[in-house]
Amino acid sequence: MRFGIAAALLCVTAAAASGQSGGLAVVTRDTTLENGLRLVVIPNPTVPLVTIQVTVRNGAFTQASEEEAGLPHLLEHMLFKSYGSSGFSEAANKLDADYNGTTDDETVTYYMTLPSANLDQGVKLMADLMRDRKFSRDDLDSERHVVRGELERSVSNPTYLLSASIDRQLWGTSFTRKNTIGTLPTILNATPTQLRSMYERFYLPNNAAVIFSGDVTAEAAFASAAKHFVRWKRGADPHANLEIPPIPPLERHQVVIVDQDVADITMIVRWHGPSVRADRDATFAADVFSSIINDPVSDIQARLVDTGLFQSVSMSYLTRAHVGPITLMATTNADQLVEASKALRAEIDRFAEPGYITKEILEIAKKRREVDWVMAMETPSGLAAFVGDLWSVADLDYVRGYLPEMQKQDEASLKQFVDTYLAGKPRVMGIMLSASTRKDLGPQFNSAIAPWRR
Amino acid sequence: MLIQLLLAAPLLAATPTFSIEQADTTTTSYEVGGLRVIHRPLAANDIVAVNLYLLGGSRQLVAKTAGVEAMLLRSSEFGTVKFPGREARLALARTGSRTFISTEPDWTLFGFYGLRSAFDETWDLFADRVMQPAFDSAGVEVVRGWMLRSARSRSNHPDAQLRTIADSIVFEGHPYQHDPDGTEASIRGLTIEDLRSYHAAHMVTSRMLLVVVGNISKQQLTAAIERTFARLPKGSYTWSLPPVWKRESGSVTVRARPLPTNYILGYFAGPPANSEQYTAFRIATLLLGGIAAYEIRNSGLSYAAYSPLLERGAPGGGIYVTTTDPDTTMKIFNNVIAFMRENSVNRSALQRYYRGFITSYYSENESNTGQADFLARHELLHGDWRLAGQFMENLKKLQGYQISHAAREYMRNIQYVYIGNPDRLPEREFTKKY
Repeated sequence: MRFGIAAALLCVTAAAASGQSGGLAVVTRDTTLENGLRLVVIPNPTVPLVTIQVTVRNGAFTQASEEEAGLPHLLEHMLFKSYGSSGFSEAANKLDADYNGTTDDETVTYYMTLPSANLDQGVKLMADLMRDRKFSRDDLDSERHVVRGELERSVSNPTYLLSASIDRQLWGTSFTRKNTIGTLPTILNATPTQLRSMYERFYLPNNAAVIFSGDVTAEAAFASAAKHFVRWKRGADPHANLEIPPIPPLERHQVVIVDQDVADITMIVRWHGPSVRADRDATFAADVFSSIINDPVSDIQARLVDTGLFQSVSMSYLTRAHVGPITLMATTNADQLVEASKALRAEIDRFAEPGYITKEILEIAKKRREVDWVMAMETPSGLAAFVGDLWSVADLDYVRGYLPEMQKQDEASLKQFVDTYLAGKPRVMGIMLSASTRKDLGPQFNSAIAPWRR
Repeated sequence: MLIQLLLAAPLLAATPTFSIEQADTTTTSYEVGGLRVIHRPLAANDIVAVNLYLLGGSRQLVAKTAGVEAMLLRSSEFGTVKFPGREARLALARTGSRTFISTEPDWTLFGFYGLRSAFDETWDLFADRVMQPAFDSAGVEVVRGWMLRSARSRSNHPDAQLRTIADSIVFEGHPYQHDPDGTEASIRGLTIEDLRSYHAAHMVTSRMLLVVVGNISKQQLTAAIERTFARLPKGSYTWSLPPVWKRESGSVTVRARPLPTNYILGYFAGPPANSEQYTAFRIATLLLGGIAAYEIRNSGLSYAAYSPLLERGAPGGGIYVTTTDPDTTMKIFNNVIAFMRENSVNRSALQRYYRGFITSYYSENESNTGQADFLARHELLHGDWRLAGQFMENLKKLQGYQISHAAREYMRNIQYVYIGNPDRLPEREFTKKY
């Protein structure tokens, strides 16, 4: 059970599936059961497997305080753990199924990939997993240590530590609502009552969708889901009275320095990006703009990477209902730091200049997304995750409209995105290097950092 | 355009287009201009996957030249004879196709995937990168920077550090000791002349295997090869498996590092990939991981515990776990090994495993690129791409005693690497004799 999804991975996923909506508009079927459960089917019979993914609109954004930080993720673990005496693993093995779960700041998923001949039994198993769960103290006491192990692995990763340090500054008082893995005290002190309360509130069919992807027809999927999910009872809309305070705007530029035992220097610049429900158009522009920045033939790559100043520069945007972050990540070394840092800072100022996005690079970015989409359609398991995530943070129309929206992007829409979210906007720049490198750099380190404070 | 493609593609066909239950009558192998080709002309979608295997991997290298093939291929994106300078990248970008380079101990994989409609344009660029790189000095320096960064950063993340240390210990004296991605010293030392010499000596068709999966005809593929790779010299390279790296005793390497948890990786050697024992070894390794992970996780001892399988010419298996309680965790691994050595796995458990493998098998073959890799691995590691279709048959025939035998024969003399708190080192468990 994984928590979160690394920004880089999401970037790849979003890029990989970028053209999806056009294709999905053609091949997907959807319906809603009487209990409110949304069903989406994406047929692809290349291999006789089907992926069944239940997506629940839960995640870190529902955490009201630090005492709850990590509960949705722990609950995801406990759902599997609480499955009967022989366990979910045993039941899944009988169906020859691979399975797992994920939690991020806005979405929780449970998925299994299994032979399509076992579709109906797989749907029954997933339906059983979703309802009537009971969380015992013994199970919780065992599983909390597994989750603790996951947390310990995360904080052993230097890049995670840098990213988390930036997020604390970026989200301010809303950090808890972005902190998926949570805190050790919460994990160690969580009670079955807390989990039950969260489960009863959010694990409702009218707060979930089931994505079927692979060797399956809409008719078979709908019939099976109607049979097995019917006993999952609708409840009050969990989000109707959920008061989520607006994420406080970042007031000024900030710099975070993280000392870690690493050989190179990593810089991450992060901004508040668009919210899909408030500024949908900008989310598409954010994806295209990121593709352009990442393309090996883009001017930014020529100026920053091909010159040797950085070994890599990449941008990503996470599509989110509650402010998606825009991340620019770059790696360099001590010899280049001062010059590289200044060049990166200057490049950000260029984003808003007329002509920064040329017609040629825009067309290349769109073409790449088209091909990547056809590639994404080859792997039904990955497609289920993509569709489920976007349904959760937006809706199915967003997914279906994705490709046409990508194709609509032009210099003006990208400029508007840059002006609204990047140009001159407050940001957090985090830099990670070893203490010895920092010491060796002496005053040069301050020279490298200075441009980021203004 | 895209919608038309999708409507036209047999993506919506009523029956699966790839099945283990049916004999593979689509795939063929042939030679064009000295280049061996495995070709599966699938019409399931409009993607064409092209994998070119440059054989030898670590065996092509000495300490000084480690990384040479990777540097040569990566720097070719900065220009070729037909596509000078930036044109090489632009021409590829306009097609929307993606190229990739993967360095492995037994070979370097250079390939691309793209739309069928862009096949010829992409192919010509791809082939020119292999045949006529420009050895652009600025490009080589950029690539050197990338590779140095990659080599330096191997110690940043504990998992990468673990694997790097394990490789340096386990493969000492074996061809695998030379990292195909190079070391800091070798990357710094490689010159453009080294790249030119290597290219002149080793870009021969006898050292290449081409695997193509996608909606492309034999006629189109043959024509593409004839105008490009067929012009290379054939050379006299002969592919064979590297020697096994069996160890006579176990070892423990410790790196103290202040981390919230402890990282453990242990490797044991397996039988040659083309031997009769290999299937049993592979299943034994996966069973070890499956049983141990179940016990360890149910005991709340770790989030991550499994048995890695080194699927390569000289294979191996292993133990991997991160835990704050190394002693108890390693006891479980050792108990499972002891159990497997002494007890035959019963037939029904094996059958269940067999069925579970069907899901993994199809998952690996979801994409055209996945299928190309699957075919190549069977051709190179097991002797014939046709064996890809027999893998499940071999599993069905497997007997419980063969698993126990594999555990007794191979799960010993484990080479452990431990990163974390030295005070928690489970020394007795690491040095346990079976």
